[in-house]
Amino acid sequence: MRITFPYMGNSPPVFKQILSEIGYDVVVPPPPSKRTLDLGTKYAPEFACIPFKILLGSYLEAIDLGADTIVSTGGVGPCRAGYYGELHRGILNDLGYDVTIIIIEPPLRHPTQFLQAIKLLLNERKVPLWKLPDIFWRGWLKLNAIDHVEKTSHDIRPFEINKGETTFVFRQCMEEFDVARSRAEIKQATENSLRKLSAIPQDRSREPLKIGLIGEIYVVLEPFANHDVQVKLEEMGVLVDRSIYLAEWTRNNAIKNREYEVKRAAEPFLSELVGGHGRNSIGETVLYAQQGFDGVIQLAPFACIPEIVAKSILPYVSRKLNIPVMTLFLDEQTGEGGIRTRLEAFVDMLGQRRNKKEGQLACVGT
Amino acid sequence: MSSKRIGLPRSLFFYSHLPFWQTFWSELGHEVIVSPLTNKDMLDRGISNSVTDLCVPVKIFHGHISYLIDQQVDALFVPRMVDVGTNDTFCPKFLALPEMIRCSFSDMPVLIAQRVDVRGRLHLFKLCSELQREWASGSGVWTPFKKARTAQTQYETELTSGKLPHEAWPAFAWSNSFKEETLIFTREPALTIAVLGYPYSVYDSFINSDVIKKLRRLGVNVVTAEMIPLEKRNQYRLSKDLFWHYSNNVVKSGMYWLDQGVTGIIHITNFACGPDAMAGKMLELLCKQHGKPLLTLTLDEQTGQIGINTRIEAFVDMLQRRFRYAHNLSLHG
Ligand code: SF4
Ligand code: SF4
Repeated sequence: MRITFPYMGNSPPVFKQILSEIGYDVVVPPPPSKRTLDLGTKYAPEFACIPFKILLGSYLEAIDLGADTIVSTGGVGPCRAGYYGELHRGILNDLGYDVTIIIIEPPLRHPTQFLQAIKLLLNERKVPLWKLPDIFWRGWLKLNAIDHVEKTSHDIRPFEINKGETTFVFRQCMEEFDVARSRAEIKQATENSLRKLSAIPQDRSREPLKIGLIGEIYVVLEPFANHDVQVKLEEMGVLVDRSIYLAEWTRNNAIKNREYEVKRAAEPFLSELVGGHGRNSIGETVLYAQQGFDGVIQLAPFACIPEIVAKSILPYVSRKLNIPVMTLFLDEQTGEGGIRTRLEAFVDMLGQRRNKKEGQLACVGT
Repeated sequence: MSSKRIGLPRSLFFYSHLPFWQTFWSELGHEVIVSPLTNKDMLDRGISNSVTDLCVPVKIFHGHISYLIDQQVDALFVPRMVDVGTNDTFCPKFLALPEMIRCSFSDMPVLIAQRVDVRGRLHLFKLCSELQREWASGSGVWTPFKKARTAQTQYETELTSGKLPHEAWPAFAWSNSFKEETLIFTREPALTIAVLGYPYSVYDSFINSDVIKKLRRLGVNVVTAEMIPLEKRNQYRLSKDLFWHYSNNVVKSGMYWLDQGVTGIIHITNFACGPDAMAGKMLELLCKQHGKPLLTLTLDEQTGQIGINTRIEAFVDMLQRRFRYAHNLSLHG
């Protein structure tokens, strides 16, 4: 059994560690590239969302590298993500690949399928059962540590003096995490990373614009899918708060029970769950407005149902709370250049808005 | 309480549930205004009143709402469709429909946006009582409810007997350009085509350029998802059911009609429809397994008559040739 998994953001080293420690032969898919997306686009339905296409391409690349089993997660809707596994299976089998897709369904809604998947997986393990909790726990620690380091890098990049330095250092940090397995090693890697990051020369006298980044989880977390918007903005000197991290710890720490806050904030505008991050996108925008952010950028896969729902409601939220919101739809035709131009225009506009506001304040003051 | 003008948009899920709600509201003593079949004007208004990235059906819904607002209705009935007791839910756009409408129009009559989450008959009755208490406190709820149910059951029975919505419920026929022509078949129609898709795309003869009539004119026997009795459709299971009510209907009806030996399938879908990216692919795989041809027609706001015509004709032509070939009939006579 040569196993592979969905590639997303910074999580691959974690999944690789967990699966290989359980004793599987792990094929880590190559980071998504133009080729991945082209492959996925070729075999996926035209209006499948871009995460679906990237993952399909990524599976095909992993199969090329010898993978014969894919573990993925299921779900209960109402958005499409919960059906990805089923359809990926259908498409891959139709293409004639003999791969097994193990879909881990939520245990409460589909208990039998959940147990079957777990049984299938555990049959192939090479370690005694009692070791599993430790393996998962260390995976979890690593995920949290990586998120923490990444978050820190985002707080530093807008202030860096030598453009690109943070990205360079962050890459080194990730390399260190890739080989850190034990608790001590993970701790060490975290400390080293934080030290290296804080050593980056910064100009803290600036008062950067603040933008909140919201949208669908995959395109928010996977830089390839969003043309690296967060780093692009930060290199323009904007402080970006991203609404989603994989290990919610990083955020939950700041605001207790964030999920609840977001839901409550969304309530007046959208009371129903619409799948994916649709309702969250509304709630986060409200919170960003309350926290005095200058603007919000919504990342949405083309034809993504929950984000289109959010997009239809956001103009109203934006008017009511007086916060500019820009939506970037992403698909296989989205070009780097187009994204850059739109980001620059948006940041410009926010800058002017702020100057005007400050001007007004100054007038009032005199 | 005095009688009110209540607007029901002839769009989206009302293609399935109009008889119930129309009967219910008028039995409560209100004047019910049902918007007519979609037309160019409504489509344009829908487009200008909604965000660009929405699918056409939801834009059309906006168009119907705009029409009804112009009719000076006192209230619009836009329920939130969550669950109709079939173990699935609706496209997230249905789930957020009341909010989307509220954000799109600045000047609006009252929006009646009850949550339709009716897993059993009792739930439906409860919902109706709520509506009655709020909107017709003088009258009873039992009679309107019973009449509404009878109307709905009768409508569904007529559909399963092979009728189309405008043949089975008068309000659908109103202003429908579809004047039934007596079709003279020289012989039994040889081809049966299942036209599958969401009812608001299959039966909105404006937006799909009247596909069904065209097929019938070409001598094709047309069957649809709504013609299958619910119990029969429910016998079909997918390896994992889809989350969306209408999408499940489409795929399961596909399975049913393929088993019944239809000659081919036409799938009517909408540009950038999320659920259909999944359902459509499943239909495609199913047709492939059965060795049956599939034609996918994707509707958007610019779909032209001509494009659809040629594609349908070519498809029917191809099926005819296949059919003759299979039955060893000479092409020349
Ligand atoms: S949230 Fe959007 S992009 Fe993600 S699976 Fe659902 S429809 Fe696709
Ligand atoms: S199912 Fe498709 S066509 Fe219908 S509302 Fe949803 S996205 Fe639009």
